[in-house]
Amino acid sequence: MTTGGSDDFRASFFEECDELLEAMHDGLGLMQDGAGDTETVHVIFRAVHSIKGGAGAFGLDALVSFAHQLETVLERLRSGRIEATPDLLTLFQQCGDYLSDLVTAARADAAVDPGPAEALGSRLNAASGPDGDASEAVSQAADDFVPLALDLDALEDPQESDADDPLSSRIGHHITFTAEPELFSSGNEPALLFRALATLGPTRVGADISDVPPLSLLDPTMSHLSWEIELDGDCPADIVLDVFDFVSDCASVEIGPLEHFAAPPDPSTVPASDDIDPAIGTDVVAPAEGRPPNSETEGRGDDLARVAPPKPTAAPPQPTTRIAAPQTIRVDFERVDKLINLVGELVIKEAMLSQAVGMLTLNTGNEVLQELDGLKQLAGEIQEGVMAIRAQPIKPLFQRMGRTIREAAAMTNKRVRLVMKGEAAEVDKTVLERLVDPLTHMVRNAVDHGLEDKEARVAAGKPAEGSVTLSAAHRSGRVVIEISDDGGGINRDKVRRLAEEKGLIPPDASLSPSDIDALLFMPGFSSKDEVSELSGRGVGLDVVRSEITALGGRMSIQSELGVGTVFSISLPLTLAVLEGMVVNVAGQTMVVPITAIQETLQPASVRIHTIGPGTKVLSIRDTLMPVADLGAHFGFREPPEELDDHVLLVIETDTDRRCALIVDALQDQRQVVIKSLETNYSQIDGISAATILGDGRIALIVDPEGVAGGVAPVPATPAASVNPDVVEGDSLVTA
Amino acid sequence: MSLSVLAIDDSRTMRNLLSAALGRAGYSVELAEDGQDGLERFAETNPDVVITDINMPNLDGFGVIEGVRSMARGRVVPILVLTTESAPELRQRARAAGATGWIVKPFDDEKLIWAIERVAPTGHVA
Amino acid sequence: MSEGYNLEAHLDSAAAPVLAADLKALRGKSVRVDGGAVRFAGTLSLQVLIAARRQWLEDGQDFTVHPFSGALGAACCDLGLSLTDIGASPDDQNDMERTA
Repeated sequence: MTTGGSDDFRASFFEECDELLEAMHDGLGLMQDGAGDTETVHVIFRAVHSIKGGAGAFGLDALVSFAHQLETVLERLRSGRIEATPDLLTLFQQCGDYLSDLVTAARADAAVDPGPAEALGSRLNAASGPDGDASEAVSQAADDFVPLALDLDALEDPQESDADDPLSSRIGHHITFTAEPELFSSGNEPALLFRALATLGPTRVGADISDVPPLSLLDPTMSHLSWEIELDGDCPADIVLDVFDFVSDCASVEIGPLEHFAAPPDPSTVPASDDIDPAIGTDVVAPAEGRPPNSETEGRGDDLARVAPPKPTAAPPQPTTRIAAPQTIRVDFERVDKLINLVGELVIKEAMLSQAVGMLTLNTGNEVLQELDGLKQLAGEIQEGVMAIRAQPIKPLFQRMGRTIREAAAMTNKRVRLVMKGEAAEVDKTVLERLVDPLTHMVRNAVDHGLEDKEARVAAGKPAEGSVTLSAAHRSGRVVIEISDDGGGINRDKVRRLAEEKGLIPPDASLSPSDIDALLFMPGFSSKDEVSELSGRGVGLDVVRSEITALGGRMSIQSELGVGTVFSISLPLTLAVLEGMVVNVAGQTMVVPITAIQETLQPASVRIHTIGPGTKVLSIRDTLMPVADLGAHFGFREPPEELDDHVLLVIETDTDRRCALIVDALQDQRQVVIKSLETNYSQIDGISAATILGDGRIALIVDPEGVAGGVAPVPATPAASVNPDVVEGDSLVTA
Repeated sequence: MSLSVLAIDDSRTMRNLLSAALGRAGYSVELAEDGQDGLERFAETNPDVVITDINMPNLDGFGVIEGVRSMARGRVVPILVLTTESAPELRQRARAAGATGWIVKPFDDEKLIWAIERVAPTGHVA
Repeated sequence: MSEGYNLEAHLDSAAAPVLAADLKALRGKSVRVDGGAVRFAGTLSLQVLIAARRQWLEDGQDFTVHPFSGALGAACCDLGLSLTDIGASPDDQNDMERTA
């Protein structure tokens, strides 16, 4: 084993660690739920063992040593020498968490507190039973399989791993090959593939013909042959795989390191044993017509005799790559982002082209228009495809919350289980990263405040163990994440009293249940009284909410007394495009996010009251809301006195502020590509970003929160904020 | 006797590139401008390998594959499809129609010959 | 008395069913297959020869490929087959020199 290794290998090791840790946590979760079986223990064991193996290759001693201790006890469990008691499972969970810490620290080259290692280590020792002999158990286990991390390296660079492995004496690949009928009907031919393989290095091909029936029973379109091929040299595995690119769907190709292939020739398995089977001599296979220049005809015949047809029953040794498996590549995020930007440009260019063509007033059905439609569709599909590259499953994030819950449960002396739903849903990577803190906070909040004490739960007829459910689902172009608990629900009387004490609401305010719930999001609501050391950490739900809002998300609460609370976060799938309403204001073109627009109104058709000089309010469905001129907000003009020529946009912000914005005309509703302004300009109040329109002009994207903030009151103030739709949903609440 | 390749592509640039590259590799080259033309040339010249574009007027590449497969019953002529980067579903469709392999555009001489060598039914490419 | 059979020059996958049918029609007699004209031989056609040889062994008749071309020998080599598998004899290397 070497220490170090190239950065690429190291990066791929940590990527693999993520997968292995995920598998380990999955397995531990299953065991905790009593749903695990022998295979589950095997999976966990293999994951820990692979981490250890890889860590060894990179000289990560702390990781190796702890993984080794954990593995030892897992091995004893696996072999049935110890029992999976609840205490042991809890210990495994804690060890799993610590192993994750060690991986994280190793990845960042950071030091890690060795305290837990000692404490956990001695508990592991105690758990391994009286006759526990760590070194014996593990060395035995180590023989069972080759660490995956090293196999990956072997694929990428066999020379390096071979040099590390004292067992190996030769460098190369061992390939097992069988063909489906489609391989032949599509015009492919193994002989040609093997010949192409021979251009990569000296090969020895051995065919197993034992399954070929006599002619009367032969289906001549089926191949009954299978092959074992040795390829010498340090040709990278991906190039070897490339030889079989055309037949990946109609052949089975397994590639492993050469040293594992040691099946000696066994004449008894060759049916034609009545004959002496001399292999073709070198001179025989050197036809005058010539062979591909690189193919190693020299020595090929001699080796052929040595390899001969292998045993048909010989299991393929440690296949490390199956060509049929889905393949992935690693790409720098910078490159993806560059691509996303370029695709954004493409979409803009396409819009500009459409507009230019529109000026030509071509007849419907004109070829240019048709082709343009095709281009438009293509550009849209490319955009979607590129966005999909950034999407990642939410599962690792949820799993991370599992740990947060365990810690929170331990600190509050509650028993909590995590339930995950829809964890396969995919979300933009950036969104995922920025969700970590808000979600952590909310999960802690759910354990700390949402769930009752054990005693209270039992008294209420609930199971002593509380549950926190994390769910994710795609709904109409957004992803909705819910954090729900089966706790006591929001105590609205208490919330209201606290808000009054803090002066956030007047004592006589008439508030609906959802208005009261919304108080939780208000800045300054959190207090020592309400927020404990654990969930608070000096941060209130208002901060969580503003983080979600910054991601273009929305938050809402549903709560039922005695039953539980659900926090919903609705997020856009991407941060790169936005559905917007393009409007004209004082000769400017601006974009208002569709998500904020409740409705559009003709001023002539509604009642607008003038309260003071320049101050107007809109009266709509028993509600008054302020009217603000978008042009005046940005200083384009004085607010217009006469509104009849204008249009009103009723907007509701993510913090439930509502107001009516005056614009001059609506142009179009369309998807716009978001271009950040902050890279080039400082943040401007009321503007979130910019976009480029079809005519090449830049349009600013309005930030509803910023605009409404100046005119609309926060919703807790009565009269202006009562939203009948929301209240209805909470009619179940009995306070 | 050199291997004969029929290259079908409606783009003249692409035909020129293919012709030059195949010629440099020592193959004898036939060219066709669209799918229909391609099938006619195929019947006339009976090539060892067919290379075809997919998006073409008159008859597209899938039509060419099906046509070649039904015309040459006694032989499985290797057919290489010209595709752009990473279009797995296109490859699947081509494979379902009977394509042998693919050449991803843009290609260089090495890539082209590597593809042909893996399907050309002869070991005697000069 | 043995029957003679001449292999086609181009033995690709499509030629295999034809070859199989032709050879089946010759069952019951010793057969000598002339492979001297073969310019290309693929897996499925070689498999037919392997199956035929096996059949003729079962039937107690002779099945030989003689002479064989260099291309046929090279195809066997490419696929890791021995000449004996298809009923040819490596001693026939003189044949190869003649036909190559």
